[in-house]
Amino acid sequence: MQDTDIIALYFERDEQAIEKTDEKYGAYLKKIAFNILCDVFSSEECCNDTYFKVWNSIPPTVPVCFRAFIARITRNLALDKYKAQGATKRGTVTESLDELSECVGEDTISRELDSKDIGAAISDFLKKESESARIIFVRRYFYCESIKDIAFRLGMTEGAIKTSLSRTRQKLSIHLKARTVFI
Amino acid sequence: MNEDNINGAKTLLKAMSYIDDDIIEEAAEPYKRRSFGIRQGAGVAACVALIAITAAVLYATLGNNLYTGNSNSADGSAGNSNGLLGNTDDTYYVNGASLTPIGKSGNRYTFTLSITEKQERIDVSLYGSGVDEYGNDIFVISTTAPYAELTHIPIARPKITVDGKAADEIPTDVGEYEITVDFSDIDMSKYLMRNYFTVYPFGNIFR
Repeated sequence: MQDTDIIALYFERDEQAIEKTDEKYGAYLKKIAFNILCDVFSSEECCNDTYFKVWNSIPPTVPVCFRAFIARITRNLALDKYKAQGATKRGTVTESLDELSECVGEDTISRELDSKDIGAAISDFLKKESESARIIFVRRYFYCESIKDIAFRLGMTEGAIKTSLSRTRQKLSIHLKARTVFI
Repeated sequence: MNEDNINGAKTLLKAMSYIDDDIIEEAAEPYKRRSFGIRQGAGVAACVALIAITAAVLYATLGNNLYTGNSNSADGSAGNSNGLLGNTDDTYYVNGASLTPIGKSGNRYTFTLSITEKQERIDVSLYGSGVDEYGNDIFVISTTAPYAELTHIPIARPKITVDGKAADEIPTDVGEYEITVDFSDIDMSKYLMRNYFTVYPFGNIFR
């Protein structure tokens, strides 16, 4: 079923919308949640919360890109849950935070900017990067995938993935300083 | 690492949720190696031209003997460069182990594995891509399934035979083994399968 058809079901308040979303994207969303939470039960719970939130958001929202829209919701819910659980498990999120803190370095992030502003600045930066560097970066820091998974998916070595991430983080740091995100 | 550092990292990780849809989408798509850009293409063209000129000069200097006089050498080098299964000149080495593809029958591949130092893991994986009706974008056939649970990557396992006996995994202990990996029962029709295996830790071997 096409995404536009699924969105139409939400607009019609047809509960099949959730069923079809789960059928088409359930595994994709569970994977995003699992990468963050490292727990099967919490990941499933997070997916159910996503469907509830999507049901309440459409209408009035008309997502331009449905898959990215629901992925973003799942990611935010999973990160909230991760925070609420006290972030005890050492997983990709902990590793990502360690890596991104290198990127922040001695700087602090401007308090005048919210997450959306910073997200826009990161988007501008990523669009100028090579396709492979961008995909690796997004798979690591949006999808919170392990280095091993990314290497596996892209048919590259783990070393090549780490090198790419390190270079992209360094360049991002410079970009965010220039955009006064880092002060 | 101080508190500001960590808070900054948390802010960046949170902000990643707000990157543009097209960037999120692009990374969710099956990855395809893109065609070469002009610069890389020019580089490749220059290398090809250089090899062609060198070959022509050598041919003119040494005559046909260069190619006809030593067929083993020519076959061997071709085999090593593309790693074709069935070419017995191919052996792949890592510290403490070597792997020699020795034959192919349909979708059954046979290797000789020689281990002189215990290996952490050895596995054969074959990847395919192509979105199926469930939105799965990559298909993996692997002798081990490290990603089996809760992944949107579907995983299938080929049959493994070690010295003629069915086995669950490829051995990693010291010894000489004949390994057969059989993909015959796996439906790969929905996916565009890569034309090489990834044999960890040996590298990629063309099918």
